[in-house]
Amino acid sequence: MRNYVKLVDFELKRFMKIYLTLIGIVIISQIVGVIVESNQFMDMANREMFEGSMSLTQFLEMYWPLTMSRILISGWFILPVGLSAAALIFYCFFIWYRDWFGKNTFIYRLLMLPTARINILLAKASAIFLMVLGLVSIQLILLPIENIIFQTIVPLDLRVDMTIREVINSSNGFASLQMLLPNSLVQFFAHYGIGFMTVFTLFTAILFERSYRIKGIIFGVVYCIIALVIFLLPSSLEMVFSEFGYFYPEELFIIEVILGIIVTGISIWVSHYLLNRKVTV
Amino acid sequence: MRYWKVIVLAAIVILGIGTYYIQNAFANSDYPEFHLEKVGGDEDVVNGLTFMGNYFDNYKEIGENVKITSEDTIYQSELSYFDYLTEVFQDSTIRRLQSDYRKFMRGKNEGSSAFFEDDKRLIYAGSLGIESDIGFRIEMLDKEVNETTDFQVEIPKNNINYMNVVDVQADEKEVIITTRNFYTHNPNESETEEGFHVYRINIENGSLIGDEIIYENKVDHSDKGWTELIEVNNDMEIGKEDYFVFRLDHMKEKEYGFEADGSDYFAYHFETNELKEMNLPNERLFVEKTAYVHGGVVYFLNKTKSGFEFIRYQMDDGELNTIEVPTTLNLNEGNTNVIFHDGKIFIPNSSEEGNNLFVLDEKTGKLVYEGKLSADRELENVYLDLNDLAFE
Repeated sequence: MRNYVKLVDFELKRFMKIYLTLIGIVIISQIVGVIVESNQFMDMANREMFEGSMSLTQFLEMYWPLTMSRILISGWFILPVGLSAAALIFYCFFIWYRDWFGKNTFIYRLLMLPTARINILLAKASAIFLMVLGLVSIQLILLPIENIIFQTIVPLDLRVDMTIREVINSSNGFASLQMLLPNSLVQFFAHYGIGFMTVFTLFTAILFERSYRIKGIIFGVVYCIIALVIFLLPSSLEMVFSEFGYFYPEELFIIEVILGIIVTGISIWVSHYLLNRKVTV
Repeated sequence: MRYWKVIVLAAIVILGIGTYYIQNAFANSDYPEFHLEKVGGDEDVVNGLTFMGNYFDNYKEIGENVKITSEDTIYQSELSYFDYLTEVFQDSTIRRLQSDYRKFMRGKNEGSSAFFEDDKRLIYAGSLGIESDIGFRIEMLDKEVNETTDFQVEIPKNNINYMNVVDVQADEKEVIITTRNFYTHNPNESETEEGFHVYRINIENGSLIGDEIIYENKVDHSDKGWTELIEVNNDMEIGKEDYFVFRLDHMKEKEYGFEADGSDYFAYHFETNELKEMNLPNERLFVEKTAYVHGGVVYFLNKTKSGFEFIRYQMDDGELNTIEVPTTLNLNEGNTNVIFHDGKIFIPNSSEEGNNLFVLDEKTGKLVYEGKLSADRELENVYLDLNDLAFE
């Protein structure tokens, strides 16, 4: 256990600079975004009402009061979040390959550690996972702060306040927020469970490649397809027998949970085998 | 400190995500609570009534399914995940059938028009084949002994491109399936035809004993206009009906695009296999009008100065009469439904001015209840659209 925590901490350390930079970009870009977007709206309001002699009612009818959800669709918000997501997806690969292609084939030392090799895999997955959840949390902590800035710039007459939950549920723009932070906790675990499963499946494919090189790429791809087929078994069966909707949604959910656990389990087990027996430096 | 990175990151995650979900669990609803407020009539009529609809907050750009009972207003985002999965997607008829006959309803994803129900039986008729043109699969549940019988029936090849089951009826001897078929007689021509078919199937031996075209319409789009068939029958009701009702709209080019210039109404009598054209006065009143069918009567709802009126067309004898319904509340321009239940006619009415409910006695046509939904707060640029009712 201590070895595992140590390894997680170590993996985090290796990406910390880039990770902190990403967080910095998110924070700065979003806060600047709120200020810029709010001010732009205020400028427009001033122009229309003082220079263009529109009444407040006319202005609101034409432009609608500003809300947080309208601010959130601007590039200031979406781009840094997209960048972070892309960086973490890329790092899912890099977290392995850097060990082989680094200055002094770091994987050699990792594999020599006096600890179960599976800990290396679990530590890498946990590190990625923690970083994803960390970014989501930063976003959640940022939203109320952004809300306060928004409320300071835009007066009550010209805005409609929303709770954080409403901002997340708003159908406008930032729909990915709803995916990252679904309404119910069960759904939250379902979404991140699928994420976990995907990361482990991808890691297994990478280990296939590392074990068998060129041939391993094919093994890896085939493995991913098999994992996908198992996970989507109920819908594939429905497709084959063209009997759609045989399972009720709640049954389907339980089946998918079980299949997800099976796929994750197989991935960890295969990775364990590859790490112990097949991987070469 | 050792491992500070893990500790700090874990702390941020727990603080951010953990607090969010804990807060959500205890926080009050973000959305308004609605209550049905009586304006006149007898409160007992609306006991156990549930409204189903959609809630839109235009400023906040939020849209949610909502269910309003006498105690509670429940929004889709407030449901547990399991309730969300089971509740959100179906109409109230299918939901009731699924909860009462879970085993029988498994895998039957069609809308309620593929079902027929009486005291003793629940019957399902779905089309077979990828283009749904091979025939039917019929399943019958005997409610008393809880036993299902099923069989398949093939229908003659008839250049059918697509077939849609629009109504299912049954008596002791036969299952009567009404379909809307789309077909081409000549594959080289762009002109297609659509028509209503009635298939009769013997329950005893599962054979096809009747294949009747009750009405055909050439879908010939030209610059001047075309005609189109519209089902008038209420597909949410799956009980016995003596007639299948549809109309033919004559679309003509008008100032702003195409509009119906006239509508012919038809009623097909299942028992006598007879198609009657309904003899309605030639007024704009009936053109492109939503009509509601129940118990051998077609109802047309019309707003008047003092309230509204129901124009009733009796299909047996073609008699036409009008019931005046003076109301206190307004029947507003917007979305209006007419739902028949237990000898009463429920009329939920949604508009930007508010949501009203009118209940009439089906026999006497007298208003027995009227009320409006009121929210517990001031609402701005919010729209509640009621589209279904459920009864306990």
